[in-house]
Amino acid sequence: MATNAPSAQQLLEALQTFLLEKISPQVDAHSAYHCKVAANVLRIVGREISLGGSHSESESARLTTLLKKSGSMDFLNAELCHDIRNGNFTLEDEQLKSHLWATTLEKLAIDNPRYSTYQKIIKTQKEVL
Amino acid sequence: MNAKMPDADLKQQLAAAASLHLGKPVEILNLRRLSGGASAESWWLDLKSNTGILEAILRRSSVQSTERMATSISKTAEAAVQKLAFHAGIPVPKIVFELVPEDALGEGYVMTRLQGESLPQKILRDDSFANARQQLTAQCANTLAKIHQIPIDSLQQTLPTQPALTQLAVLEAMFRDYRQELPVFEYAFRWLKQHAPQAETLTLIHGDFRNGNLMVGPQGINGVLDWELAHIGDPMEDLGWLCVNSWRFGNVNSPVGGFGQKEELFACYEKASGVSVDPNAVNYWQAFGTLRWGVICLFQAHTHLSGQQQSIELAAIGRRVSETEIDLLDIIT
Repeated sequence: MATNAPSAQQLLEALQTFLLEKISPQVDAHSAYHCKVAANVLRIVGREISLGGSHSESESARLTTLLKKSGSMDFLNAELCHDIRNGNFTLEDEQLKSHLWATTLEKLAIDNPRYSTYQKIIKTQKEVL
Repeated sequence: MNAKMPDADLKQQLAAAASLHLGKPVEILNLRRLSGGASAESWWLDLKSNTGILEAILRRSSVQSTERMATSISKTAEAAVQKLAFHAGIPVPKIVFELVPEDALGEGYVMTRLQGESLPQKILRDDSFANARQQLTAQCANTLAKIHQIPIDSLQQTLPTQPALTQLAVLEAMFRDYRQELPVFEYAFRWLKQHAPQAETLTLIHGDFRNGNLMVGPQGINGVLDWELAHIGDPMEDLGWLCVNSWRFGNVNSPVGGFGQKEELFACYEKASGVSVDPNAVNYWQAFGTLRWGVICLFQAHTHLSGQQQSIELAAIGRRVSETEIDLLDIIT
């Protein structure tokens, strides 16, 4: 859907600046800390807008192959959880492990790409991928 | 945070309780609430009497706590464990007096206030703690060895006995309550069920021994705080929990609390305790601790999502669950 400027990303940036530069200096330390948390939440939302669509597509495609079923993402993830819980996969299953890694790395790319373990894995390009 | 009795009333009631328990008139000064967990309140205060001023902390059950972590113990039990630890020579705040029902202040106790810093980021980064950081690994090992040597006979009635599979069942029940479909957690629960170590001896476990619950001064550990998750269990649990990545604050190459190496931790622990460390068991408990932290993050996000307490901070914690997912995969795959 086309919108007029500013884009969603630009709106988020404006909101971050507002929180950190206009509100934060005027409030007590506790609320200033919450401004920081809120600005970080906006960064998560921004990354999700950029990456969420393609991550969902690749996760859905992997799940369909892994489970040999199709359906909504919620359905497929519920099925996968059920199958893991009930021992329908062995813990050594390479395709399962590869899916768990790929999905988790995609989550971190949105939630917190600066996280130490994410950075470590990205840098060493761990063989599991 | 909680709507409860005004500070002035609390101050008066505390003064009455302190005077009664210490057998002399006591005045309460500088009373203020410290940020704290969902299940307990902590207050900063000074007790003034004819013998001088005693710097203290009040810990008591949250008056309005509707939900608490399934594994935390009562404040009475917490005081009992802390007294035992104190008498065993472990650096720990001394219990000044315990509240009784007649005090009408809930369950809790007043303890001495230790000097130092407990904020992990400061301990890990400030120059003033450079010397402390070099001592911390050995001090953690020696302190844990001492905790694990405390005879548990007198604690059997006070504390729950929680070997790995018992705790895992509690954790899984909590997780199921939040109805989140998390394949990595399912994988981790199964792995942890299959790999549970058989501890030869069960000991007193601190249960939350990590950077953040250690009061640290220029020479290292001044005191071990927050005993509310104490239980009887596998001593390797405390070593594994100390190594969980979430308390390294980015120091990914210093697995022990963000300040040390496992080789030193294990060697010092073995020397102090005479018990050999099984690195696989520590690894197991590190994975367990990571999952436990992940479920705690879910619990906190749930507090927001359920409408119980609207909070941007609690909401944001929901998006930290993925940090524990990547740490779990890093340990167990």
